[in-house]
Amino acid sequence: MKAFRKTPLALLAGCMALQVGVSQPAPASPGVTLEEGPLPPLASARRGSPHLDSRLVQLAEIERREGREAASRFAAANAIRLDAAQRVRVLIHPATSPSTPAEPAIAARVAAFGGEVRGRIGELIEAGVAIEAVEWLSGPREIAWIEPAPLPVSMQVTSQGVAVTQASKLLQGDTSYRPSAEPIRVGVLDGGFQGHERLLGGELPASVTTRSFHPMGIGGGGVVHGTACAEIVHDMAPDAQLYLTNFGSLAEHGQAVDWLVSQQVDVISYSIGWYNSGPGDGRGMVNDQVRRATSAGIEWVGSAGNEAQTHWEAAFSDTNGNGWHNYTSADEGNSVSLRAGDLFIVFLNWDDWFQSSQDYDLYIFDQSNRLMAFSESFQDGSQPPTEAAGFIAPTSGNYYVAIRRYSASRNVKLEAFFVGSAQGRAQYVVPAGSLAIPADTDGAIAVGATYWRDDAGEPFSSQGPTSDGRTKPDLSAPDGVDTATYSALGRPFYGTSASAPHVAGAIALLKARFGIYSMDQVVEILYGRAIDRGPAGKDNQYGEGRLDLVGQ
Amino acid sequence: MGTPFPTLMLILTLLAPASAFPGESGQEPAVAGAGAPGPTREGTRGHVGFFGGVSTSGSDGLESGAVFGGNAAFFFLKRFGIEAGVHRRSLDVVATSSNALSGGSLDSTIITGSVVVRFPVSARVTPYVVGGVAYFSNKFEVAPAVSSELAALNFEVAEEVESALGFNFGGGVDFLVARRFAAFGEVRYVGAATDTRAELRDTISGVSAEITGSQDLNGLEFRVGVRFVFPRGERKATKS
Repeated sequence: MKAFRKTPLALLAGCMALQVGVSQPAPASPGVTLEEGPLPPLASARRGSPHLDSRLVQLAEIERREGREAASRFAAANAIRLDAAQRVRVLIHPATSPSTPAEPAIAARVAAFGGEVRGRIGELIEAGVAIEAVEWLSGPREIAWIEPAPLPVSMQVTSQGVAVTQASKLLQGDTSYRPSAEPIRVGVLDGGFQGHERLLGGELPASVTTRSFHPMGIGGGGVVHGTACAEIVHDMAPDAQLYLTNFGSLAEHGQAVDWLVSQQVDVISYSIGWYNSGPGDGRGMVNDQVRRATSAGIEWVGSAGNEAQTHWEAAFSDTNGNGWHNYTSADEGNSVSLRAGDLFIVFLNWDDWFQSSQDYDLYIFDQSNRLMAFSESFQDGSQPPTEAAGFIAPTSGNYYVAIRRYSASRNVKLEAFFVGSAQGRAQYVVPAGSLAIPADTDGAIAVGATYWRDDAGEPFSSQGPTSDGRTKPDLSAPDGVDTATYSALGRPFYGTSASAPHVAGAIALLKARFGIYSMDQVVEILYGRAIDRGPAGKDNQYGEGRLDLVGQ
Repeated sequence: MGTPFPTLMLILTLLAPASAFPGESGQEPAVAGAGAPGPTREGTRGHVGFFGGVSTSGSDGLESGAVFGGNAAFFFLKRFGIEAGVHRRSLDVVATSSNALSGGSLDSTIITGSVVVRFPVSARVTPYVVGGVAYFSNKFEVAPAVSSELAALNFEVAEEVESALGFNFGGGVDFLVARRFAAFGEVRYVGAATDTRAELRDTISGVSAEITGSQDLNGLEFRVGVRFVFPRGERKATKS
């Protein structure tokens, strides 16, 4: 449906279609063009700075004008992390300077404004700084770009229904051949393991090794997601030793990966995804951290993502020459139906990584064409090709995602993820290529989700291919299973978050029982035994098929 | 397990007086008085015999098992001779601590070539010691319970024990029960070190893994049997 030219009746029709799960675009109808609608005029001059992400500019403005509480709300709605001291976590891109290393100067500047360097990711610096200091920080020439540090997103989808955990023949028979002399070590890398202590000796091994890189400790501030993942690993491989580690930012993520490498784990179960962190072809900061583990011989088993119904991609097309992307020849808005209080965030990126000179901007309007959120970051050759904007819906109704070409020499290929409590309701979605990062990493195992009861592929399970054309995911595994953690909350564990630990546990179990095989051989066996689903052979929805330890 | 060889030699030496050999003591075999012509003073020229017995656990993972076979000896001197033998040894194997073999059964065909030294103590009783080489040809089968469990999970397992050259030594006593027949009992330590190979194949994907190891095949065998003897003095007696 069109965001800027629909009559109220047309808007209502689009909304109803989405409510019954239809994701095809509504028929095009003639209407007013964007310029003729009641939209507020967009400033021709940019707000902010070419060195500062648009969201950070807005955050600072909101805190200045409306206070700390409003700034916190904006941060929550825009995937910006504030710590307990209300400092914003940012990622600083140093300017490339062959003669003078920028890092000491940046660290000194961060400290001078009362901030703290929290870690380094390659050349990038992650720091926590006061909101009001963000704009001051971006001044000197040593700093090319400052953006909010990316936030991890748990790959869990809440749904309904009750399911039971599969038990395997392997476990029932206690069969082994040349079992591994040492227990297999499985690392679970997640946002938090709240409540894991009370499950020790039952749903989890009697003891586990934990290490937190999260400022709020191993619980991650009440995150139970990792605990449920660890439960599944333990269900699949009861003799495996578990190493639980959590993080809250990219820098902490890297530290956690390095810790798992130092602990010589054999497998890492990873049910986390990132947005706007790379081009989707295996390159990027998160992917580099994954490769640190895989290059150490660790099998990295990660969720494919739950974005098949919340992903859209297309080449920028402006058929009427007004600067706005045309989703269809007559539609310039991708509508999403939100309820009052729904959080809605859009992550937009395009194929001009890593330092982009193609400048596109992102806007979200309500059905009266009022601007609800926007992201107008500069892309003039030294910034990443990303925008992100979010808000909390003040009222129930339709909202529209619009993309504007600000300054570009070519029509880029755009990709957007719609995240929040309104997942699955966008008008235009493209399941293909919806992998969350780092599921695109070559050498890591990406896992899609099938519902345990009927083996059907979950409609939300992210699909390949990667942007460089590789088939992903590699395997599919059950979701919707019971865990003590989520059963206590009255629901099964849905999403590729539940699927990935099944595969990680399966690898640990096979390796423990058949120590004669190398880890790579174990993975090859699992691929061979997978029950083929979808098109014959490996495909972009199920990979090699649904995980099966015995095969047919 | 330690070798019993020194102890055995000591016992046999104590049992064998210096004048024990019938040809030296001048005694006639007791059997001659019973109407049957006994061996001459020179003793026997050789023998062919069969035996059975048990092999006790000697190496890691090898259980007790049965042995049976035969051998032949030729004595080119009164006390010294050579012996060739072949026997089969069937042992159960439990999973070895070295992980070289899984549970199963090991059948070895063992060909021995040895030197025999004998120490007759009477016309009927002749202790002897023996020592030499042994060649093992081995066949190992994984326990059916293991292979069937693996087959149910679509795995196929095969294990091999390589052939090996080893040793044998021991001692025993011949007891002449008739002019051409003797019964004997002996203890023999037979052993070798060999290589093993195990392969596990996934019958669905075809992925297979192989592992090699080493395994000692040592075992102490307790044997009893009968021998057809060729008396040394028979030809001379015909001439006279």
